[in-house]
Amino acid sequence: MDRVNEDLDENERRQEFTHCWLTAEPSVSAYVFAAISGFHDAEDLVQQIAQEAARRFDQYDRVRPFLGWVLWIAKSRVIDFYRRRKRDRLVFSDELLELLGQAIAARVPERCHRREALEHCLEGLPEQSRRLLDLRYVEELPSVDIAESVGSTSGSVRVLLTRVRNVLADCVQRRLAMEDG
Amino acid sequence: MEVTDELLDQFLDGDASNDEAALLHDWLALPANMERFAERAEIHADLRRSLHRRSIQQEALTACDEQNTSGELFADRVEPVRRQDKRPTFVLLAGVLAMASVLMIAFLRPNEVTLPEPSEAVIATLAYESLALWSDRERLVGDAIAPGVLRLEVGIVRLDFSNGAAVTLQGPAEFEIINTVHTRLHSGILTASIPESAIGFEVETPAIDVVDLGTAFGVSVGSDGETDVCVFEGEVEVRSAGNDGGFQLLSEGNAVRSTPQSSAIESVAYETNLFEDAWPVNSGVLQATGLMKFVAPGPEFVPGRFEDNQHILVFSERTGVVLKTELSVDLVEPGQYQRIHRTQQHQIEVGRQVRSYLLQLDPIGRLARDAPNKPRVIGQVTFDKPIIGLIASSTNLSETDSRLGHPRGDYVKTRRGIEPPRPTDPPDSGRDIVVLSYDRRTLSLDLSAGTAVDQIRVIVDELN
Repeated sequence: MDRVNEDLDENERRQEFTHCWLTAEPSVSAYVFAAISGFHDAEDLVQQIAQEAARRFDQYDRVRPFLGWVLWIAKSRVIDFYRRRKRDRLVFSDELLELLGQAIAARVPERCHRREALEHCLEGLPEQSRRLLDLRYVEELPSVDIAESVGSTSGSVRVLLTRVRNVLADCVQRRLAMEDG
Repeated sequence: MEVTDELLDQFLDGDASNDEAALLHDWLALPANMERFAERAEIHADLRRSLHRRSIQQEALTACDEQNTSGELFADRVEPVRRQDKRPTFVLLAGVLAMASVLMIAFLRPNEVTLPEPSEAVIATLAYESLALWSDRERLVGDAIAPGVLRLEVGIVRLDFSNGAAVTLQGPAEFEIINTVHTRLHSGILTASIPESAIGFEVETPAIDVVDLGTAFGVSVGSDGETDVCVFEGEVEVRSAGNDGGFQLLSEGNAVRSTPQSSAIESVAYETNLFEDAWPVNSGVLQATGLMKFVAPGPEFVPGRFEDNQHILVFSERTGVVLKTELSVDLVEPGQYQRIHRTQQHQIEVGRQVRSYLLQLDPIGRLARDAPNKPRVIGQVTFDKPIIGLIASSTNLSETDSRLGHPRGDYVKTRRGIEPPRPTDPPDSGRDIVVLSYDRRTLSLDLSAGTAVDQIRVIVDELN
């Protein structure tokens, strides 16, 4: 009988973790990406964080927000990553990582809505802008290679990409304001 | 120097100089600035996720369109062999994918080189193959698999990822590895078992994204991108490729279907036929011949809940069990056995990491011991790991149910082990013979079920 109870508990525990992690994951991704830049490294690190959070889930204090706890784990993993990386790169200090965690956690309300709104906004984007974004985010080309591909300069590609992101950010804000209104 | 959006983007893209980074770090010390930076990072991370998914969906839609177009173009000339229209499209798609994979490998390499530990660069290993024919290049068991597209024409292969995830592919299939947690199934059949160490493992298809959180599932993608997902154990997250709105949890024993043209995910009947060849390989059962049958994956197919008197059923019970106390088993040495002597007990030592399976012949209903039509079945099963112990006596079976039995299995407490011959049986009556091969991988059984259930628990060494 005890065995059955243990298994039920284990199952419940896993379900609970699943729900917590799925809600927190987009914020964890943004945190890690902000701290280390580079999609592949960031994605690997997010996975390591998920593993560690699952392993240590018993230690998580349910009265506190899950995201705060998992960002605390994320911070340690980011610091480990800094240590392993080449020393010539300037990295965030402990204080900055802490501040970043707070800023990310503060953005949790409406996180889902913002992601949904972004999807709609992407639909309305002109073809050329989408192409630039694809070259950057899907094909992961650096600005120099994007410039070559679209017959421009890397400087203007950077400016254009920033503009497209600004257009999207504004569009997301407008959509959310409309929903609230 | 002023901190502009462009500088923030440059920094997030990894293009900022150390001077610029230093300036940004000072600027970020102010919480309001950090908020602006966090918002920007969020946009980058969300764009990466969304655009990635859209690109694979687009790829499938293009393939569909090309299929339709080529059908129209050639319809008047090649009417009698219209079914072959798909072929050129497939080749075209394969070409596009090959180019994409070359590009991807070219851009992945620099990242791999900077990885701190060389072991992390090995994404997966080809762990098993059966009649596999690759259309891109030859691969052998033991080969390291790099990121890129794998094209399997026929056969079954298993890829063991460095993080513990195991993926079995059944040809024809096109499977793309992006990194240890991110893969794409363009077409074909895949089954996956994901231990806790590989949580977050994701399979994208043209229609659905499947994110696993420590479980087992099957995915099938047709040439038109239509995707079926079936959850064997635990839960997975599924999300329509065209809709980032939200995820949907899919629990074991459930199945869904979607197409690239639709953003809806439709529930369908739980049907595992598609996965019955690939799934046993995932579970460590490489081959089951004769009347040996690996049970379909799913919550109902556990010992005690599923009967079949025509076959010797192979149930996967537990994986990754580290023995905390010694384990008493009945047989450890290769050879042929008929009698189980309880006095000859063997122990498997503490600390071994093992996996358990239950082999069972369970007659439906009760047959008289001397009934003439008593079911008798012969079969062989081959495992991917060496067998280090067999448990075949009723007492030892019952004693190990809680440690090694399936968590949801319903184990009878009556006589259920291999029955030793009675003194009145003629010597060649062929009752319940067990043969463990010398390489310890193959077990042959010849069972005849009487009034009791015939069961053997197989213990394999998971780390060997």
